[in-house]
Amino acid sequence: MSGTQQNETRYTRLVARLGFGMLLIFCLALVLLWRIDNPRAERIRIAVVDRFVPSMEWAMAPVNRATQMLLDFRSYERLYDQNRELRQELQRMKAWREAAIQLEQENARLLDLNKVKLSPKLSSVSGRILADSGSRFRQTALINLGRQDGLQEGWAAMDGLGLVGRIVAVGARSSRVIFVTDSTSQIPVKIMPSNRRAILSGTNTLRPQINFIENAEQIKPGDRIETSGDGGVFPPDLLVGQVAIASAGQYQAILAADFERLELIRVIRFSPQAPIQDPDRLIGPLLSDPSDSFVEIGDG
Amino acid sequence: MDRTAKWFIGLQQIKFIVVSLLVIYVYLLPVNLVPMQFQPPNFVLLLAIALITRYPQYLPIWVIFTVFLLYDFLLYQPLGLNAFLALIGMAYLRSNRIGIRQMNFLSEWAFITLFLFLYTCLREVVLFLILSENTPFFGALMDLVVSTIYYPVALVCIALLFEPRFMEREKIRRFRLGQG
Repeated sequence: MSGTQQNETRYTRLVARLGFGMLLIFCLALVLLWRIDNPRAERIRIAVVDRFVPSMEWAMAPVNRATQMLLDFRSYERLYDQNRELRQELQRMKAWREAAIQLEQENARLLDLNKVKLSPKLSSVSGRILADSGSRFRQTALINLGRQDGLQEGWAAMDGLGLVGRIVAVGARSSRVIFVTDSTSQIPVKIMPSNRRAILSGTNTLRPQINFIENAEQIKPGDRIETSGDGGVFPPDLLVGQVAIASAGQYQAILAADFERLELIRVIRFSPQAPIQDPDRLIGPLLSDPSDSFVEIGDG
Repeated sequence: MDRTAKWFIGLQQIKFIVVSLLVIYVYLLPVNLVPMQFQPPNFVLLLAIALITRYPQYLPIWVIFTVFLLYDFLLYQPLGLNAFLALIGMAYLRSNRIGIRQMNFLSEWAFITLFLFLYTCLREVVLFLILSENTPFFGALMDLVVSTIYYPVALVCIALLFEPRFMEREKIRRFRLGQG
């Protein structure tokens, strides 16, 4: 009797050990898949997230409300200081308003002269943030718009005012926005009014760096940063923020989007000229196939 | 109550899964979208460490696998990496739990810190081997410090959740060890 029992325990132990090895191999394979075929792995992930997160919306509602109340309460403490600051600011704003009215009139005159038309193609769809990534190294968030709302990868996401990020993965009912603050985010921008091209690189802080500026001497703190539309992924002329210079002489961007009160997201419908289909290919205008031209040369 | 009954152990396993999911959902709440200076620790890992040295029967392999795979999926981590490392780390802790239980609290804390350091190193090594874009090493060390600070919190959570009279028993055990 004890012999068969011993056999049985040995057998179960063997099965357990085999299962453990299989699970390890499975995990390692998943890591490799994630690394090698990242878009497919992200699609699997967003499918899983799609199933879990929107159904938890009801569970999150009270907690969201509670944290919001806490934040509101904390803001009462600062009310007095804010009030004084606002009064000073109002004084300064009055001067600015005067300047703005004059500029508006001038602008209207110039537009009339120029017969400029603004692009009517850019429409947008709004959604709210469901969840953030919960990690310091990944500045992303989930929003409640998905393929059902016609979302596509690569579309720009804004808050009311400034650029927030870009759609990187689209599920049926939810999708992921990667913020401009993420260290993998690189966005072609132009700096107005000098119209210099540069790249805005995220640094995992609230102040992304501005790299690869042409003629950096002409750029002053406070200059406006807008998307340039280079590369054809983003529409041009979306507001990003202002230029600031750090103590080390590094150019940084003060973002126009308010990340501290980010709740609603506006996604700009803009189909890129170069759709992102093969993620391993460079994004840009389609080049003619080199083998074709070779054949032509051969024929000629 | 029979604490060795199958249904009771199964209940505890499900309890751990539910608690881990709760922690993950707390992380997911969009409370603060501003990049943080200090990341919250991997609290699920800390809970698992605290539990497996006390009650390994509540943490079979499938529970570890499920929880950490979900952690990877939902929190935008490299897919499967935490599950892989947790399976290895937990197997190590499971086989060495008797030695760990005989330590006093401070040396246990130090040992777990060393364990977390090796865990972080292994993670960095794997990320390096697959040529992934690495997290800054200094940041990883900062996280290690934060995790170490949070370990006693995880211990208290486990004590409260899985053993109502945990502290009392600890005292008696220490007392006995001191006598012997």
